[in-house]
Amino acid sequence: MKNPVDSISGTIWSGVILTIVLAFLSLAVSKGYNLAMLIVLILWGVLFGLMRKPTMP
Amino acid sequence: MALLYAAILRWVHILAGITWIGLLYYFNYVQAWSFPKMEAAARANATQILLPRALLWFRWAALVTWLAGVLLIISYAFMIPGYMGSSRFNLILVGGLMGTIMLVNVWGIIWPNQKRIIEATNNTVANAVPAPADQPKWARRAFLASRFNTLMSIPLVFFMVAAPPLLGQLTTK
Repeated sequence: MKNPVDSISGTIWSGVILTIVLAFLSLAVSKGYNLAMLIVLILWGVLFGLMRKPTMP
Repeated sequence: MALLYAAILRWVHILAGITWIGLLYYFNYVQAWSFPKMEAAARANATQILLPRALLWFRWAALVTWLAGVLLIISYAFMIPGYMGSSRFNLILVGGLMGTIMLVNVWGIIWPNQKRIIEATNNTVANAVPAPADQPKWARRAFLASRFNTLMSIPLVFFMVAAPPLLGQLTTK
């Protein structure tokens, strides 16, 4: 799997998609931000795991 | 007086944030594209002269941004009744969590690896020795953390700047 952050466009698109997901999530759980933050952390873990793949650009 | 204090803190937070993220975008949008295309001597020269200066402003701006942000939240908590637990606070907290992860990336991954690269380049130029075998690994680690921060800066700015007025209106309690 190609690492999305190896290209600028992949980085920006990933950031925009993450923003949209989190924005909807924060609307959906307007009183449950702790859950939202937990999911941010999980997403961060997944993304970080993806990015540690030794795919040299 | 308290309002002036909060305004100054907010001003410092945003000025330092522009410096931090501006340099982050320079590294990712300009330098990461240019360096591989430069001649080895020119790249080494830029690594010795340009990079340390850019990283100096980058890492300290990151720390100042974060500290001013934390002080601002604490100040608002004392100044504004009901601030803690408000939707505005929660949105800032989500952005702040992302900013905290990014700060750790700057000081824990990007700077230590870039420092090794600068020291190795200085050694290579001064003593005409080959670059260490681990140098591509250091560069890759710093690159990934830097790209991750670029990615995270997009939702961070949304939650810090765009979401409070937007979602505040949609979810006014």
